[in-house]
Parts: sequence; C-alpha cells; structure tokens
Amino acid sequence: MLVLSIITLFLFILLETTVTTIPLLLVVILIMAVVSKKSWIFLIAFILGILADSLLFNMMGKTSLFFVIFLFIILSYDRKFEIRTVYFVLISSFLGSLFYLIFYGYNSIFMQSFLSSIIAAILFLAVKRILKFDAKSKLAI
Amino acid sequence: MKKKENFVPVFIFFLVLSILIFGLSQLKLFRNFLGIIGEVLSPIQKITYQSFQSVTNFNKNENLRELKEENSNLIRQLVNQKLLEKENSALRDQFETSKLRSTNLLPAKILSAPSFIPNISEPSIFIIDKGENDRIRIGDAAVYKDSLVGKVVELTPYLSKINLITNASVSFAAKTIRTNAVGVIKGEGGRQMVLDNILQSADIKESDLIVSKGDLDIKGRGYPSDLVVGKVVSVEKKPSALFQKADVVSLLDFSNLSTVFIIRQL
Repeated sequence: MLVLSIITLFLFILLETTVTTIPLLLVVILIMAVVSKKSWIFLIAFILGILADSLLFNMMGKTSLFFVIFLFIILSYDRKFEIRTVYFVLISSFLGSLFYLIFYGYNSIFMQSFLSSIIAAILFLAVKRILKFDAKSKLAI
Repeated sequence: MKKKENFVPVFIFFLVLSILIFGLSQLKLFRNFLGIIGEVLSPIQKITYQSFQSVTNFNKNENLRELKEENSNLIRQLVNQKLLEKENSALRDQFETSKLRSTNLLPAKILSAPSFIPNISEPSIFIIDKGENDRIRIGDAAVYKDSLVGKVVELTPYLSKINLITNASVSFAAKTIRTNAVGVIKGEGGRQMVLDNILQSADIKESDLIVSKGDLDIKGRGYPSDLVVGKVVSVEKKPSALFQKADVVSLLDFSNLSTVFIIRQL
C-alpha cells in the first residue's frame, strides 16, 4: 500500500507539473487526509506544495500555504461530520479545486473542478476497496 | 471512543513555515534550490511531455498537419513580402533604419506545458530546458519560426518559464500588417487575444494579420518588431466608444510545440 501510494504521488506530481492543470495533488492530499485523519498529512502536503511550486515556477510556499489551510478545514469538519464518505470527498474536492483554480487564475474552472471531484471519488472508492474500511472503522495508518 | 488527534499545533507550525518561505521567496533566495530540483526532474518531465505529445499526435490527420504547415509558411512569406515593400519604400524616401543589436537564437525543448486537457487545451506557460547558465535573461522573447510565442518571466540556472502571448497576464503593442493600425494585445487564454485601444479612425478588418510592434528596451530585451502574433477574427466598432477592439486568434498551435527559440542578446 505504501509503495502504491508513493507511485501514485509521484505520477500525480509529474502529471500536474507537466501536462495538466487539474489539481491532482489536492485530490491526493484530500484522500490521504480523509483516510488517515492524522497530522503527518500536513508534512506531506507541505512537501508536495514546495515541489509543485519549484517545478511550476510559482512563489515558493504559495501552494503549501493553500494545501495546509485546505487540510485544516477538512480535518476540522471531522469534529462535526463523518468525512470518510464518498459524498464528502466529492463536495470537498469540488470546492477545494474550484478555489485552487481561482487562486492560480486558470481557465475552465468548473469543468476542471468537476473532473477533479470525479477523480477524487474514484480514487477514494479504490482506496476503500483496497483497505476494506467503512466510514466508522478505526484505520491504523 | 478514541480521542481525535489534536492537529492544531501541527497546522500552526506548517502555516507559519509556509508563510515564512513565501515571504523569503520574494527575495529570490531559493533560486538555486529551485534550479537543482528542476534540473533533477527535467529529464522525466521531458519524457512525460513528449510521450503525451506523441500519443495525441498519432491520431491527427497527416494531411491536416501538412496543410497547417503550408499555411504557416505562406503567412510568413506574406509578412516578409509586406516588410520588403515597406523597407523598399523607406529606402527610396531615404529614411534611416536602425539596426537591432546582434541576436542569437537558442533552441530550447519544452519540458512542461500544463493545460486542462493535455495537447487539446492550450497551455498558458511553457517551462523550457534552458536557463541563466545558457545566457537567457528575464525579458528575452521566445519565437517559433516567424511567430511570437512569449517572453521569459522567471528563470533558474537551468530552466526558464515563458508566459505565452495568450496568457491573461500578458499585454504588448501590436499592429496590422496591412494598414499599420496600432493597438494593445491582451491575452485571454486558449488561443484567444484581444487587440484593444485601436483608434476609431484606424482601418482594421477580419483576416488582417497582426504583428508585434516591438518594445525592446535599452538592453535589447522584449518583443522584437514584425513577428506574427495572429489573425483578426472579428472587429468590434461602436461609435460611442473611444476605441475599437478586435478579437485575434493565434496562428500557432501551442499545444503541439516541442521546441521554441529564445532570442538572446549577447
């Protein structure tokens, strides 16, 4: 599972910094946060943000800042709702992508956000099947 | 019930760290670090980008590509012919023409061109495999054949970022080749641009070719003159408005480019 996660992360970094503007890294961070609910996810988000900024010539720290704040909001919802559901993943990935694309001034923001939420939902369902968890189960990651 | 992890201290730590790095990056302190990361990953980026290009180009009609190439050559010949006519006229009238400082075209491979749908949607930036070590400077123009591609806006020792002329943050002076009507090109994303601030009295119509007017600074950096920008597809002329404007579409298919040329000033 760890090897698969690393390969997926690397692939998504490459795709987002080379051929597409769809916020794939945001999707990956969201899935990891929703599945693990641990604070080490902030470190992953920070590092991914720095990598993305360096490869896309953005101001260093800009993407990390966005990811960290996004994660804080996602994990804050865990106190109120159950976040380990596909509906939460769909809505949060759509809204997160929308703000991300507006933040960076990209075009076709609604289409890209919609596509990003579909990718997030598919990824979440795949992880759910591999790890065999449900909304309330304790997942030791 | 298991107590939920308190992530607030971790969040605050990374928030402060991100803000600190963001602040320090304004001072360009991380350029070397950026350069090293870019240099390490650039071969993989190049392979990824070229793989996507070869996959999408596989299905494209060979005839269509040849026709586009021929069209592009004809446009170049037309622009050159118009320029020769003007130069001939200027020489006959005994005007002096100034010469640009010697330039050097540097070919650069495109490593990254993110867009919504790879090789179908148009990108707004290019990352190329040449940087400061190749004597590229911020403000150097990027061209492909006789068409303007964009301008270098960021660089590291090994890589550079080019804002395309269709990028929403780009604007520069341009003119029609037919009547020399001057305006300001503003990028709108995709392959679309707007030629704005055209005088009401200026003669501009659909299918007019637009070329750069030239805005080289004292060091010779900026957009050279008479490089093809695009073609007018519609004109908006309202008598009540101060200026008229025209929609311009780029003749270059940015999503299919794999190499650009940087005009260096030596």
